[in-house]
Amino acid sequence: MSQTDSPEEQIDETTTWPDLAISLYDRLTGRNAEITYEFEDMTVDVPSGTGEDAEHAHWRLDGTVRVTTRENE
Amino acid sequence: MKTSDLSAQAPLAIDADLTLTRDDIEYRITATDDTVTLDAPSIGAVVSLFRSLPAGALDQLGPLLQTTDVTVVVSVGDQRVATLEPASAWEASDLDAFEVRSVDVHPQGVAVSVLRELGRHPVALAAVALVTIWLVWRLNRRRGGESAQS
Repeated sequence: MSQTDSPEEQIDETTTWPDLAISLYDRLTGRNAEITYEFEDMTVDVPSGTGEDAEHAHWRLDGTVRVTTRENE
Repeated sequence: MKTSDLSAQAPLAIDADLTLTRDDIEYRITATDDTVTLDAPSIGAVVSLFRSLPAGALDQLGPLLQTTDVTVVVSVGDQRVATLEPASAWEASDLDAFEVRSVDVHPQGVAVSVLRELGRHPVALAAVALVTIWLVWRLNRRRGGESAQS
C-alpha cells in the first residue's frame, strides 16, 4: 500500500483476525458456501516475535478444517 | 457498542479434525459447529503451546472469539482444563479497545491432569505427597498453638 492511499481504500485492507473472520463471513453468507482447508503434513515455523532473534516453534499440521456460516441468533 | 451487537457480527461454524505436532508433541484439534476442542497430552504441553504463540496472539484471540461466537475448549485426556469463551460483559467503542480475555480454568480438571502426570513419575508424586503432609502438619500445629493461647 502506498502512502497516497485514501482512507476509504485503507479500510478495505484486512489487518486483524476479527476483520478476516468478518470478510470470510461476508463471502460465505447467502451462498450456502463453505471453505475447506486440507493440510497434508504442512510444516510451519511459528516465530515467537518479529525480531531477528525470535525463536521458532516447529508446527506440523495434518487434517481438515471446514468453515461455514451460522444464522445470527 | 455492546457485546450483543458484536457477537452477531460473523458467527462461523467450524468442522475440524486436525493433528498438530509441535516439537514432537502431538495435539488433536477437533471442532463441531461453534466449539473448537484442543486436546493436549499434558498440562505442560498446553502451557508450552500457548507460550510458543507469537507475542500478542492471545490478545487477538478474545476479539476473534467475540466476532465469530466460537468457544475453545482445552482438554487433557478426558479432563476439561480450560474454556476460552467470547466475553459476555464489556462495552467498548471499537474492537481495538477489547483487551479482556474470558478464560475459565477448571481447577478439578487441572488437578486430575496434574496428578495423572505425577503418577507417571512416582518420585515426583512422593515428593508432592510429602510436602503436602508437611504443610498440613504445620497448619494443624499452628492452629493447635493458637487455640492453646486463647
